[in-house]
Amino acid sequence: MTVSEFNNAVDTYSDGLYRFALKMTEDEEEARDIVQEVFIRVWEKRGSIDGNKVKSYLFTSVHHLCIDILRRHRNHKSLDDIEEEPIIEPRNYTGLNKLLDAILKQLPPVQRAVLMFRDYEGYTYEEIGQLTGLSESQVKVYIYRARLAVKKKIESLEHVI
Amino acid sequence: MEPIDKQNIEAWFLDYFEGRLDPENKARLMDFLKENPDLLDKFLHDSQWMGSDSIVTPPPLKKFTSHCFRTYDERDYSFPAFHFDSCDYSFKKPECTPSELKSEILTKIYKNNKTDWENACIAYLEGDLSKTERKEFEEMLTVFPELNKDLSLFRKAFFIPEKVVFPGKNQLKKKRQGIKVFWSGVGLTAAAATIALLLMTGPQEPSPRTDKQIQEITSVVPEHTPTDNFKPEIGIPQKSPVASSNKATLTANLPTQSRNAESLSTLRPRSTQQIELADKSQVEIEPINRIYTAIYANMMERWQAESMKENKSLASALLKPVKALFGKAEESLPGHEPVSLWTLAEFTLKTFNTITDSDIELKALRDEEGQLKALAFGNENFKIAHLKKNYSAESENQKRTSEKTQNTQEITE
Repeated sequence: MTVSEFNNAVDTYSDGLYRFALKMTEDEEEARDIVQEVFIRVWEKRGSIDGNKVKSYLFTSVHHLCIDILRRHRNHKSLDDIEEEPIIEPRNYTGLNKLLDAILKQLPPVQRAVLMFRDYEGYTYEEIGQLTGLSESQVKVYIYRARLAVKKKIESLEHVI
Repeated sequence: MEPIDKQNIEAWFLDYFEGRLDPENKARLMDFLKENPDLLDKFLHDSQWMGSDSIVTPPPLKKFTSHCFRTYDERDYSFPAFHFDSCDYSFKKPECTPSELKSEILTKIYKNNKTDWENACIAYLEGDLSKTERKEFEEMLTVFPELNKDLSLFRKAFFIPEKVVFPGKNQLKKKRQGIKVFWSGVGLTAAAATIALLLMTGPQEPSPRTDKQIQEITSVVPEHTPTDNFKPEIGIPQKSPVASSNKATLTANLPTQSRNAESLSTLRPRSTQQIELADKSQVEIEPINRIYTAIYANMMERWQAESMKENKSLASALLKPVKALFGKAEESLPGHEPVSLWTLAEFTLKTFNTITDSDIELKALRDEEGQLKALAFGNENFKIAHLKKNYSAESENQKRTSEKTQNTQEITE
């Protein structure tokens, strides 16, 4: 991997990686550290990393680091108290986006990760399986469960409104 | 084994995750979860926190298909092949009104098979349905527009990527090397830098002396006191507070590399060279001096190879001391004829002035009999002068020879 390819990877993927880490950890500083960490790893291993496969390496590394941090923190909360969750980037958010962002935080980490890989990065079930170490069918089930949970929460809130 | 119900399901989960269930009871648990989707969610959720080894593959999603709506006819009111969740439903009830039939189907969909309906919606929005299934699903929505409301809620469960900018992007980027150095320019670049450095730090350190001063210094050397230990007080003088102002401007216009020119890489520097100054102090040659010498030799060789092809012996003589300095084998040099050291010194200085655009002069001080007494070289900013080696002894020998001749003549007379 050349310096040019590395810098292109920073330009192309750092925003998406940061967004992923931010949604997973809900902590800007931690997310920034994670992204920096994975790029340092890439730079150190640039001799053995194919420039064409750097995206999957980056997202796999970020995912693992996020899961490790979440397992340590065990800060998962129930779906019932999402209204009080702070919004990370309030500007440019529509009402639905705020709601979705809050709901996303309440999903189990695995569901959250696969959902973001699917919606934000456009990965297929198979690719997500490779990134997360899950089987394709597991990925599909987690995504379906996550969609259903989000839908149910939206539905319940609409009823309240 | 006790039956599975909602009261003891937690215990069953625990047994499952801790590996205490045999295959038969595992199957029982899966069947129970299949019948209770709400508990299946909890099971999956719990499995995510039990470590990757405990994560189980949930039961496969039920496939939703419907084949009835293509044959739907308002007058017939029949749904002969409604296939849903692996079950066939028949609604051949001519006595029912269409609305009653639709209501009954919707009840089936929403209540009895809600999970399958939800999965069908997600599969439709995810693009997981085949072309045929997709068409059938859309037909069903046409027949039952009530389902669109539910589908629209699923549509909202898809996240739209938001723009987030990573703040440390520029800090992560790696800078490329500033200058690309091509091998063909290394020698010239190094030579320029080294010679400039040498001129700025080496010969400029001695205090400037004028020609007059040199005359005065050399003139104090007594011709009649030729002692072996005598050294004139010249050479490299003490540092002077006079600042040197001649910043060397290097313009090296070298001819192209000739075939005779040797690569710098073939010049092997000796380990350490010592030079004895006039005051007998030892000065160690810095590596840069050796590099400088090698580069200078290379430049000189190129220059002379182009301009003095006819005089190979001079080239050989010029290169000999420099190559010897770097341990070059004597036999590797081309054959040469003797050249006077004065010619060699003049030529060397001329070459140096040419490639460095300097104005250093080599001057000779001669005695009354015209013999070379001392040498000096320098310009208006620095001067280095030294008494000719063995000058006094030569003079004494000449005197003695002259006296002997006179005596012989007198005896003869």
